Amino acid sequence: MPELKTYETPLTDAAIDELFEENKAQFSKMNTAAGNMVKSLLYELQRKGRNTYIQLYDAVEDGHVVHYRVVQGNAELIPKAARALRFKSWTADQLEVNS
Amino acid sequence: MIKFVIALLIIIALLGSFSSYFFVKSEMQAKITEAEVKMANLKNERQQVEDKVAEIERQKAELQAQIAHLTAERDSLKAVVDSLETQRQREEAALDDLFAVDDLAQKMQETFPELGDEPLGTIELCYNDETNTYGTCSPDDFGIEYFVFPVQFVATFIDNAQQAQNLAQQNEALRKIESNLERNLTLSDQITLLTEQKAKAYQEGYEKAYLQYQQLNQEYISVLKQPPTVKFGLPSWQFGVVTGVLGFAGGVILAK
Repeated sequence: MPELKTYETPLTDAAIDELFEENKAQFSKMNTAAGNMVKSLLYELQRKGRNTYIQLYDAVEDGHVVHYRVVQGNAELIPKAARALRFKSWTADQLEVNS
Repeated sequence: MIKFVIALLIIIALLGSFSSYFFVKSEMQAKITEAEVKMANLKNERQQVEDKVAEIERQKAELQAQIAHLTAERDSLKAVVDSLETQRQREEAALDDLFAVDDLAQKMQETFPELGDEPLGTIELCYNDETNTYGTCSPDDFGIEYFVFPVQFVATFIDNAQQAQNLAQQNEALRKIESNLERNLTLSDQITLLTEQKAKAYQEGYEKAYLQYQQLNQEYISVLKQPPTVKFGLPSWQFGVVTGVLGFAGGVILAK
């Protein structure tokens, strides 16, 4: 795992914006559709009081795979979100979108 | 009688000399005229070649002006392509920034006004693994929020994706064509350079041959106008003494 930026929790609005920028740099590297599926996962984890945030890293350029770590919230929601969005696979630190 | 014969022989010799002199002189004159005409013709041909070269140079300058114009146009179009690519990247980055549902809905309706002015609806659905269908969510389900638009509208996204993929392939092929053309132009330039070098070599050879021919012809005409002569006159006193001595000695020997 590369050395990642650390965030104090609970995340402030500024930190949430900063984290989004960091995550954007990762999902925008991926295949467009795959990146937008990951973006959907980020959205679903945050909304409706779920308040869960993950930090993406090591996205595959033009690919369908990205790694993550939980910054804040309920880690158990990640497999649920990935399943609901019909990801191809998910582990404790990796997400793979169908291709 | 002997005197008469000798006189007659002298007259015949003189007449023969005069007639051959005039014959040779007229023949030389003809050769001089022929050489001068040939020189004049060659000068004329040379002038024609120079005129033709000047015309080719004029046409070449015109073509070079056209090339400069087309090159400027090509560079301008390349700048347009680069600008469009920059714009595409900027728009793509701006799209990545959109996250809130309202912002996405607004952009969607700007892009596809066919969806109407009314706010795009959203619905939360859950996937039921047992029935393999989407349905309403129970409190413990992980619901996903979806935009609501007609099923057949999905073809728009598919069409756009297909077009984008096709255009990317066309773009790649066109860039290869451009690269080939650049290579082609470089090779054409090299051929032009070699052709010019060959023409220059021929020109130098022609100029040298022309000058040498001109010089040689001039010398030839000079020789024809003033041919080498045999000088008649008394021998030198040394020659007289030697031949005198030899003659005296010979006479003495014969007298014995």
